[in-house]
Amino acid sequence: MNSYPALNDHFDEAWVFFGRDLTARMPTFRDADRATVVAWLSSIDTELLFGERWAEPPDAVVDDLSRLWANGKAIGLSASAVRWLQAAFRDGDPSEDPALVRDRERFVALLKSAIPRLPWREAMQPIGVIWSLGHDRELEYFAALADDPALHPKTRAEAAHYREICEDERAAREAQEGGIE
Amino acid sequence: MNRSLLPEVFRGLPVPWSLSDSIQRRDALTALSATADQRSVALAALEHSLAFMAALGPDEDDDEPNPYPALNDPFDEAWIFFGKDLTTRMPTFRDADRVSVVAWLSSRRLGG
Repeated sequence: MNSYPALNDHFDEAWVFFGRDLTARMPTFRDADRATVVAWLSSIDTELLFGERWAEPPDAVVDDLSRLWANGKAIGLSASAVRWLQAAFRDGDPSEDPALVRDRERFVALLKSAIPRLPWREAMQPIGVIWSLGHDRELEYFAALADDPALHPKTRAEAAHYREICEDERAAREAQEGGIE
Repeated sequence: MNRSLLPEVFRGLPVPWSLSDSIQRRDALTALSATADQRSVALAALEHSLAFMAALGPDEDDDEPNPYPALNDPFDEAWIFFGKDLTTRMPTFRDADRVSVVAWLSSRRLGG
């Protein structure tokens, strides 16, 4: 089922050429409102974007385009925050900044709590980040995720992929520790 | 009636978190020091965006035609338990061929 029924096939093809122009009209989230979307639709040749022209854009088109834009921005913001925080915890030194440990725990807890509820595509980045911060310490977490029948098969498959990597890491570590004794 | 496209928690985020253009946001974030205060803002931005995405529901293409129509629903459920076993049969890309797949399928009780 199409999440945006008022946006037609013509739109799907053409939107890639128009998205940045709409975003330029709403440079911050505070500028993003329905009136600006309507004004923008009135300023462009909708024949190019939708294959048709209107005296004024239908409400359903304005609603769906507004939702599409907002959903894209929320997904992009999440990806930005994940990348920025991941780098902060990778590069930070807890001996100089003790709050790093607490913030990192909060970061991982937020991701873990969200993953079962996220659309599967949006769950991929958090799963990889949890592994990058925890490696085989997260083996049991990935095993539980991979075995959870309530989750989307693609989310479970991604978790199973990292479970396998963690198993290899743990086996290598145990072999190394065994060799030292 | 005018309406905001995003909830107030997004609108209230400081720049660069509330920049609409993802490339501008990325460039500005590269220059942003990861102080404890900035991490708090980032964690808030993350919490709000995760909650927003969780409310979106399943991806729209979840019910699109299966690109592997011969692999049924029991397969989708069970494959995560079998994949490693097939990979073991074909340890390098050079070993991966149709005959090995057939031999593996014949070696297992795979019916559902």
